[in-house]
Amino acid sequence: MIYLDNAATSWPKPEGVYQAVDDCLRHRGGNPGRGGHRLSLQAGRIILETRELLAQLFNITDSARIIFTGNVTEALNLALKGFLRAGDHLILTSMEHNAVVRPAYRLQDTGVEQTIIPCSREGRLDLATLAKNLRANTRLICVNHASNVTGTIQPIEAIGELAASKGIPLLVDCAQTAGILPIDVVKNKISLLAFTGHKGLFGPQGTGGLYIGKEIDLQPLKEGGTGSKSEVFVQPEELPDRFESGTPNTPGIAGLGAGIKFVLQEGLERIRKHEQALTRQIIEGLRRLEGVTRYGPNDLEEQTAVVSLNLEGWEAGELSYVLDQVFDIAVRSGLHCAPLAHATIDTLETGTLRISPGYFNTPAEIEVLLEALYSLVREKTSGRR
Amino acid sequence: MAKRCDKMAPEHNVYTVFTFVSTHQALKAEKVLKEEALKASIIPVPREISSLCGLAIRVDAQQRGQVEQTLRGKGVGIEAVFDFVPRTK
Ligand SMILES: Cc1ncc(COP(=O)(O)O)c(C=O)c1O
Repeated sequence: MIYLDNAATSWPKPEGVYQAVDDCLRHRGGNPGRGGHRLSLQAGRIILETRELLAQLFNITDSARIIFTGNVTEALNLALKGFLRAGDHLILTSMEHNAVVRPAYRLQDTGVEQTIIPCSREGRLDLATLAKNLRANTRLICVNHASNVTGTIQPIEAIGELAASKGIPLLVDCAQTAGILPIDVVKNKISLLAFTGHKGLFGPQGTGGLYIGKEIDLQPLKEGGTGSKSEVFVQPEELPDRFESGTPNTPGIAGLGAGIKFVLQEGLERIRKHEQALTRQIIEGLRRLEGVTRYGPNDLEEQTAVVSLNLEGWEAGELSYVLDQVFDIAVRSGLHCAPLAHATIDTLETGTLRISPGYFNTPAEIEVLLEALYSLVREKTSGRR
Repeated sequence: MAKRCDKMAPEHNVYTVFTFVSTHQALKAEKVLKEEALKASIIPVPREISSLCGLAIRVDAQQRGQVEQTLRGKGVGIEAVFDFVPRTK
């Protein structure tokens, strides 16, 4: 199997990730933060270590301000619903994932106003348009760091600068970029950073989290047992406990920690370079094919390792099915949970075929993919004659 | 802010207990002290103290100053500090 769907979830994982999950389940199986016996402490230490690794990766001073959630969707729900109140104005972009679009839509019922800034056909956010849409009651700007549909990278540093100059907090969805592009909450002036564990950070599915800046007053969406302050009925104020009721996904967080260690060892630059080389190979290979429409920026520096396309005479779903069934190649087709992004690039009707290589893919695998595409096109054209 | 029970003079077999605002801070304290090669053990909070979190750190009383300074320096959220004399029969 040639796996080219890393924008959905990374696979395979670094060896250390499998080992960490196994070791956690076998040898550190206590309930973290609930009781003081050794097995519980071992579990608690795993969680602390992963938090500290995340803090190192994102340049977060106090790791207690990082909350674990089940995925970035839960983190984004917490950030949006825990922060915005009736009368607040939210700005988001047309490249947002449904993990933002749907909670934001729902928040309109509670009196939160929203503006969706249309991006260019390449998926780029224009800063001047963003600035023009700020209002007196704009309370949050939410930006997808890189699109899962086109790979388009937004200039978060400039956006952070603009937001900070107006005193408006910035929420960043870094599902597609954590572990691939540098993210620095201080330098990029990010107040809320929502991440998922199972993509570029190489963790197991069911891991993710939210960094909450000191300046942010956030309400929890759930209350419950935290292992601390058990005698009182009100939810503790202390982070991370305030937002972490219930037993966490300790084996998943153990795996996530190992994934981040791998990222830090390899280095972001090396990971990015490798993914860029594979992306370049795909894009150049596609040039030899007729009838390809490719979406997104025409510049490798401005995109992540996502190639979205349509092939004349093929429906994206059919193409991905044949690639899987006949050629044993996994890619994704459809709307990729981001209908506004598809509207932006004008593929709401057709969807796209998305090829997303990862750090473990090789140039030889990309060659097999390209050969498969060539042979399919050849077959179709000769069949037509 | 740290509460102090300084009634007891630091004698030889006196120990000090640090309590914390959360499990995260208690485990972070353990990690920080280990990195600084300061001897400390993580213990359940002694019954006579009430704390936000069930875990505490126990150190030799002579180390109290150095431990407290180290933890504060690393931004660990200390809840309170207590000096203890083990009960004699
Ligand atoms: C940009 C973006 N946001 C949010 C998500 C949702 O991620 P998860 O399913 O891990 O919550 C994804 C991935 O599917 C994504 O690419």
